Amino acid sequence: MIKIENLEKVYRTEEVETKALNKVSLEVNEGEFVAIMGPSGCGKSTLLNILGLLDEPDGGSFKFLGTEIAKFNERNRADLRKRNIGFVFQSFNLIDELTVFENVELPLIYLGVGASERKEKVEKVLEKMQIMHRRNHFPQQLSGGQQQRVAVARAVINNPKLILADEPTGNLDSANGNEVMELLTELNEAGTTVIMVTHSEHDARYAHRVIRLLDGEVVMENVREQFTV
Amino acid sequence: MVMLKNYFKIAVRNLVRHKGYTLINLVGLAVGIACCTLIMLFVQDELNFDKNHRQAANIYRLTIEIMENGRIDKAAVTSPPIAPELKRNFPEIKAVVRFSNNTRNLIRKESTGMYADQGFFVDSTVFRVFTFPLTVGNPRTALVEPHSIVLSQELAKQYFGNANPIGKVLEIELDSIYQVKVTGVLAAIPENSHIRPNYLIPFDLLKNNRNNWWAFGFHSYMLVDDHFNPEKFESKLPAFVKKYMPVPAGSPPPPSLHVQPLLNVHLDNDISSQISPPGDLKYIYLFSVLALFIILLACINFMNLATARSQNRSKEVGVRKVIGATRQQLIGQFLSESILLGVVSLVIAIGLVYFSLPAFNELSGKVIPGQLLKNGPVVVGLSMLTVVVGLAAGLYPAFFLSAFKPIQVLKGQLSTTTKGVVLRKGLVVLQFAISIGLIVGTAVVYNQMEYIQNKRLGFTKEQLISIPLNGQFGVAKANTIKNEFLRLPGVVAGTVANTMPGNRGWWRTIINLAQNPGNNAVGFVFETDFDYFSTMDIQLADGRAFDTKFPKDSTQAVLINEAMVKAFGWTSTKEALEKHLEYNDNGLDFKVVGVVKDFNFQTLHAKVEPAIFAIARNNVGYLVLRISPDQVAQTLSALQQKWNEFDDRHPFEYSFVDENLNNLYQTEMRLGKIFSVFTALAIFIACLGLFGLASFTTEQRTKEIGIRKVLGASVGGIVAMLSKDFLKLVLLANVIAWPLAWYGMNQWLQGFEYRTAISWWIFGLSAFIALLIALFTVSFHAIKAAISNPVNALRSE
Ligand SMILES: Nc1ncnc2c1ncn2[C@@H]1O[C@H](COP(=O)(O)OP(=O)(O)OP(=O)(O)O)[C@@H](O)[C@H]1O
Ligand SMILES: [Mg+2]
Repeated sequence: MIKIENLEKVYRTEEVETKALNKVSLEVNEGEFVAIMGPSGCGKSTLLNILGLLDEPDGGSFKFLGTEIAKFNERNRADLRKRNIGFVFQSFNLIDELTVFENVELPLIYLGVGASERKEKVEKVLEKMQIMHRRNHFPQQLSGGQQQRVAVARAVINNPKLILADEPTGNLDSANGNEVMELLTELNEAGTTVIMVTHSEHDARYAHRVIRLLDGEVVMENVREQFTV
Repeated sequence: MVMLKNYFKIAVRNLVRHKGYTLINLVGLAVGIACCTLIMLFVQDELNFDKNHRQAANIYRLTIEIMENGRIDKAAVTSPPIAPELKRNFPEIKAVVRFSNNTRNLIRKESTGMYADQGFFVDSTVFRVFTFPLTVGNPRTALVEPHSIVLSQELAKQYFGNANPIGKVLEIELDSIYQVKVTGVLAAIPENSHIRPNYLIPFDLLKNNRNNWWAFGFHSYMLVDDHFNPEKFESKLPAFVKKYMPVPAGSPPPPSLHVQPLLNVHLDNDISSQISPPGDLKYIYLFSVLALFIILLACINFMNLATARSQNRSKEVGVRKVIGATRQQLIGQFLSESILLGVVSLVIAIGLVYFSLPAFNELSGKVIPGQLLKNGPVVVGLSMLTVVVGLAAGLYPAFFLSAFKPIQVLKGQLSTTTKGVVLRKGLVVLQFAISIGLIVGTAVVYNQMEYIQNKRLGFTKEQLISIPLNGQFGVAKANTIKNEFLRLPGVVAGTVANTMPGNRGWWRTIINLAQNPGNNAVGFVFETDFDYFSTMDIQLADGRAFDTKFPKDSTQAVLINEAMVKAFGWTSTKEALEKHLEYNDNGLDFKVVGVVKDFNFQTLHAKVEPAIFAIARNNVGYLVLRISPDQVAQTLSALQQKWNEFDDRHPFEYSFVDENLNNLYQTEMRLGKIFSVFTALAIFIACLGLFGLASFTTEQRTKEIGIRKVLGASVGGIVAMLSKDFLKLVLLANVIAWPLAWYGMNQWLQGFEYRTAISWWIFGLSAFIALLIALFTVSFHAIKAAISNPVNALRSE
């Protein structure tokens, strides 16, 4: 599903030039659950953002669903993004002015889905995330775990092929964190590809495979079987 | 549609959540739109003058052009025989109507008599040419019978209450007393009609000058057919003038005749002697620009606050982008938000307009009716204005916000986009530059008004009262009354005159050097008595004043002013003495016995014009008294008593000359008031914006302030730190505004022959006011932030 080769990303500020990604190559197949780990500042988020088409690489090749998209412009990337990718962030990133229902509904609106279909879909996913009773609440009225469940609901509402999660449990206690991990696992089992950045070895265990980054380079890939021995 | 609903929902929630921000924008935009609406109403009113006349497009006014003292003078006057003779000669003219100057007459019913203003002698064709509907009476016949009168509704009510006035008889005092029958009542005439008669009397009742081709004191209008071509028509007029108004060789040429469309009459202030004071395109432009400034200021507030607030909204923008919103969709969202704000402001603005219309009418001297929503063009204009304002205010923030890259936003990386900050500062400078320019403008207008009021005019205008005589007494009786008045304790001096500065009755004519008609000048004629110069306190430049010791003074002597000396090209006042002048058709000549120093008998817009002074022999217009400043009330009531002993038919009326003179500057006074109102509004809106902006910057720096305080900064130091940036901007605004304001106001002052200089203190003052207000506005937030507990600030992160 995803194949990147020699991907590079360089941040230039007035004084320094940071190589956030240095010739990263990796492949993720459909249906995989991949965790990305590594010390702070090693380029995990940068990689995830590029994989999520939120940012563009400075070099290398990036094939998404078989199409080379390294040179796509923002408009085309946005279109691919909204049809295929769902995002879950550490800080939830819900829109404070919208209710739970409206937050989850938003991607469907941008996809141009009709009202009755939207209602049906949103209710189904809220049901599944066990947050239906909070549908008319605003984000600030929810606990962190609840907010992240809403965020996950929003990420999956349009049945994306790929879910990207950047430290989804980073702001949660272990009980709520586990709940979110269970959700991601369920989604993965239903066929969605999941790529997740995490600092937690515990969370990484849910993944099939762990990719370790150091200073912008892949240093190790290990599958769960080896890892859990 | 769904998208719009979603935009709308979030817009409303945003507006409700950020109440302070919403309020600042709403108030600013509402005031801006209200100003624009009022100005739109004003301009519309000005541009629609005389449209109430059904045949307006086919009505022309006759005007003349004449060479006077070396320049062309245009005037909206003709002599009585011209219009009827034109009609006889040119078949394209369907009807003509002549109006006298407006007159003021005593109208009596049985024993009660009142003066009525705005009367006109008119031809009976007035109703054929103009659309003056009658509530009762037949327009075809109303003014055919010479002893008839048509009244306005107010006059009819005044004399007859609610009874039908048709056929009732009134007594009107013209050259003598006439019994006239009421034959019609005029329906209300729109305020924006340049002729608004209070009563009409037949032209046939006019006794003097009816057949005088040279009596240029009447206003003539013609109704023409649809094929009328004004240029072609005008080209035939020189021959007409030559035929009917021949002049002896060597004397000045007769005036040339011209036509002017009725619909152009109101805004052509190049033409003198109009029936009513014309409007001024200059002021229409000026007010429009002022309204635009105000709305611009409000839009700037919106733009600045929206971009300043962008940080708070960046998360929303980022999330929407991540989820799949396109840039266009985001722009659409922000624009619908600003247009929504515009619409809400519009509703408030309409309320404001209804509320402030009476005050605006007072200020502008207009009577604009309040049925705003029935006024098609205004409704269309307002809707457009709202959309334009919404777009103008929302466009920049929309593009600004939607341009963020999603990850940048989510990472919080757009805190200091220098471009945005520079623009924001630039706009604040622009706002303050406009406000400061308006402060300077207001100060200059008031300064000039002050100057006019205090300028020495060459006579003493204070404590001088003028009593109109309305032609009921001859000179002899006027003098008797004057002498009786002079015996009263409070009366210091007295004189009679055909005209008074600030009053009516001006007579301007050609003055020839005797036996030498080629050598002439145009000047004003003052017919007075022996006490004129001493009563008025006018200084002599040469020769002597009128003196009863010289019996020939009453019939064969004149004085002239210095301007007349110059107009004749004499090099000294000495040279003028002993010259003989003629100023009447009757062939009498007058010896110049003295020259008076120039005094300003007209407005200070114009230089002192040539004038000639002679002893009055027939009628005089005014009795003028100088009274002592003590016990004015007693003196006035004594005067009234004495007056009634002489004349119990005419009510005693008087006015103070200095007040009459001030009334000449109504337009300028109005300008001053309008200027100050607009200035206040501009400053208010600019301050609203500054207030909002200051609150955002302070909010952004809360953490910094907290840390600084923990490290030991004082309250004063922090206030200074926060205010300094804004004050720099205001200072810069001063530097930009000064030269522009100086240029603009200097242009305005050029319209006055006598004017003040724009002194430096005005600029100092404007800078001081602007800085003070800005400091006050900004320091509110700064002080609040500075005195709050530093722990709060640190915890807020
Ligand atoms: N916009 C930027 N400008 C300059 N440098 C950046 C920018 N974004 C990231 N970097 C740098 O790139 C490197 C990789 O950053 P990235 O955010 O990918 O790290 P990370 O692995 O996600 O770290 P963490 O675990 O703390 O979230 C870091 O050294 C960071 O300082
Ligand atoms: Mg990261």
